Amino acid sequence: MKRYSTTIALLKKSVWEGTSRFQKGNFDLMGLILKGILSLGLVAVFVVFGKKFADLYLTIPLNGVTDAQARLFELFSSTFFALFLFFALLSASKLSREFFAREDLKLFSALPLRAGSVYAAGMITVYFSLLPVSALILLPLLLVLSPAIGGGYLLKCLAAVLLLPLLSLSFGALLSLPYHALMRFLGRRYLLALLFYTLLAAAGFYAYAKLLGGVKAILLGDDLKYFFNESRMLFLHTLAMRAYPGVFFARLVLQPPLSAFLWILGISLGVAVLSLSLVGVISRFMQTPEKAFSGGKRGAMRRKKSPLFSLLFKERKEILRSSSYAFSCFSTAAILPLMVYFCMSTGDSLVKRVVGIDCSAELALFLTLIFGSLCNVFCSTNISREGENFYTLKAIPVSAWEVFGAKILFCLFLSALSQAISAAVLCLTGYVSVPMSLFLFAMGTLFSLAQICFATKYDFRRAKFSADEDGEASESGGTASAVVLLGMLSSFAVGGIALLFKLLSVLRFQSGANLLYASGIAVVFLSALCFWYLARRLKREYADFSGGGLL
Amino acid sequence: MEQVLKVDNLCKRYSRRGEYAVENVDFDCMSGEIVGLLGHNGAGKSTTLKCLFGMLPFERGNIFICGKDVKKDPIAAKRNLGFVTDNHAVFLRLTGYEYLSFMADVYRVPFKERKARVEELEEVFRLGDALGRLISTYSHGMRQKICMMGSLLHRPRLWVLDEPMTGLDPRTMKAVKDYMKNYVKGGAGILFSSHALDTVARLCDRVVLLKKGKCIDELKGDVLSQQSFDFEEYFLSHEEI
Repeated sequence: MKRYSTTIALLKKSVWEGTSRFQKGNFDLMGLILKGILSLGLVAVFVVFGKKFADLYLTIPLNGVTDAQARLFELFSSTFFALFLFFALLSASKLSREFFAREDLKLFSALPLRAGSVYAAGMITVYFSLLPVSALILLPLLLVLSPAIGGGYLLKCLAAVLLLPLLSLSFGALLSLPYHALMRFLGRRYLLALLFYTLLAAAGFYAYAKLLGGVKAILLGDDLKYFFNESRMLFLHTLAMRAYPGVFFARLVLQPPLSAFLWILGISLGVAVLSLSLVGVISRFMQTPEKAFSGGKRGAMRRKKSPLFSLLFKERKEILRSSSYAFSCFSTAAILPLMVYFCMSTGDSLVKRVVGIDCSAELALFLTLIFGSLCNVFCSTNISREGENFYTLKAIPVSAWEVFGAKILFCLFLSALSQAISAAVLCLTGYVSVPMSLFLFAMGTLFSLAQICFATKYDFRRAKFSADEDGEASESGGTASAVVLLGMLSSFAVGGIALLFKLLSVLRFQSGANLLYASGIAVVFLSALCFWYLARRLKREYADFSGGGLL
Repeated sequence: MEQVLKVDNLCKRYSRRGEYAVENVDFDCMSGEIVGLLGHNGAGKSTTLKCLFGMLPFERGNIFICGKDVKKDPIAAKRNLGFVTDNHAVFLRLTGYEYLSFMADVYRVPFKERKARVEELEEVFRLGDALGRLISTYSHGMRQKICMMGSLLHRPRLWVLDEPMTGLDPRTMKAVKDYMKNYVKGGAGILFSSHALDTVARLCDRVVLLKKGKCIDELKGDVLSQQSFDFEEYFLSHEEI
């Protein structure tokens, strides 16, 4: 028992750390509700369209024979395989943080703890953090896709929910070391990291756009039947039958489960033992201090700048030299045009084919506003990410307007650039005219200004500084949730209503009412309102500031 | 001699109904003078200095730096001030040179003078090649040094330091003390807080003693330098039980 007491102590510590998030002052109720709604919404979309797709897929013949049971097996096998990959990568990232990136690892290395105990505690903690995700994704999918649900089937589903994270975790443990090595490599190369994350996000969004295309095909009817021709079906069948360990899980759920259960358990244990044997390597990595980017050996005093430009320069350097800030700030701005274009291409043709109405301008405005609002989340930590240095800014001879102005101008410049590219792409691809693209750019930029002003002041009033000296402010705080929620609601109110009104007026009265100008006035009013919120008593509040939670 | 700092009846508390962390504190600093701020842990030294830096608001009283009111004309007041905090809060993701350039920009140091001033400060602090590296890679003492360099670039009329000797190596400590003595000869004033009684006794022209947020005594330099005066005994006699 003594052998495991340190592991149990570490687990207790994880539980205490986990529960501290729910304590007064740390608890982000709005964020939790928002996350819950978004997760449930995503699951609902996947389940509804998954069911529609499954109904269609089960009727597709292979070699002239329609075999619903075989198609279901293929569907389950490939779904489980995709989820296995997702969970393995998620585990690798979580374990990498648990084993190598935690602040208290330095303390652990000085305490009489075996690396094995830290490893085991980390594995158990991550396993329990994966379980709710597994249940949330798997249970609705398995229950909806199955043709017949009985008590036995429910038990098998429950087993799959418990076993999929287990197997993924053991593979994730193997992957955590190369994952960490990659992160260390990128950690010292800021520009490369920025490029890597931007490409990754763009690829992710491309995949999402393809998925949207699939949804469109499902909605439009027979397109998919032509897609799944004989040769494609043969290829997919072969692939699905070899998609291990997805095949084991499909067998576990759809066939007598014992052998599959044993296989999964055996592989999980085998890989876990293999990764345990790497504890020695892992513990060496744990104790190796990370070599931070040094910034180069040469340097000199740079040319004189005005205080405002110097603050802007500082802002740029600090964001660029933190991979998570750089990703949130630059990468999201870079992929905004991509998001708008992909959704426009899917949405526009879908609306035209389903309803037969041309509302490209309204749709473009709606997409510009909603994706713009999602890309500006970064500014919700404009003040918090300064940490204790915010007090240093207060002590130097610069005004509140210079401090806030630099932050707002920096975010606004990126946002305006991104909106300009987005509007140009929509114009060049023929979705909107030149005047309309200029209107979109102006609306997008003004909407961003409103959001940035609001987020910066809101964060200032609720600033929460990281206690770690180089700690990064998290975007998961209440401010980020409020900024996302209000941004989405405003874009629905301004852009969504214009779109809906156009659709309804054409359907009801056969004439399209144009609410675009009204939307424009609403955006101008919104930005004026948010600017007033920022400016109101700013000088006095800045002088009286003693927040951040560190004093 | 000109008054470079005047703290007048300063009162500060951290919560509306809480106790005063600093209450009715009065002291000043003249040009050419080094003033030490002494007190046990929690006596109110750092709070007083943070109010002076403009980092914290205060309920009552006034602070004047070279005649400029910190509350009414904060930017003009801060232009005459060089500050070093006890936690060395610097911008860790900037290099040493970038940090110094930033400080030179906000204090509007002419470009032509920047290089010479950095070289002059380098003689004292000797950060060398480290100036080209990110501050996050610096040790505690190196961060203290870069803070001091940044605070001196604009040659402030008042240099205020919170626990300046903590973390410095003996050579730099000696160099900083010598620099302080020379700096006040140019007509500036220095105020610093410290627990190192030896340093305070040797450097200061005057010492202000704080206890429970109040000014309880003020010692002149001639008293401190008397052979019969036991500074340690005097300081410990004011310890709270």
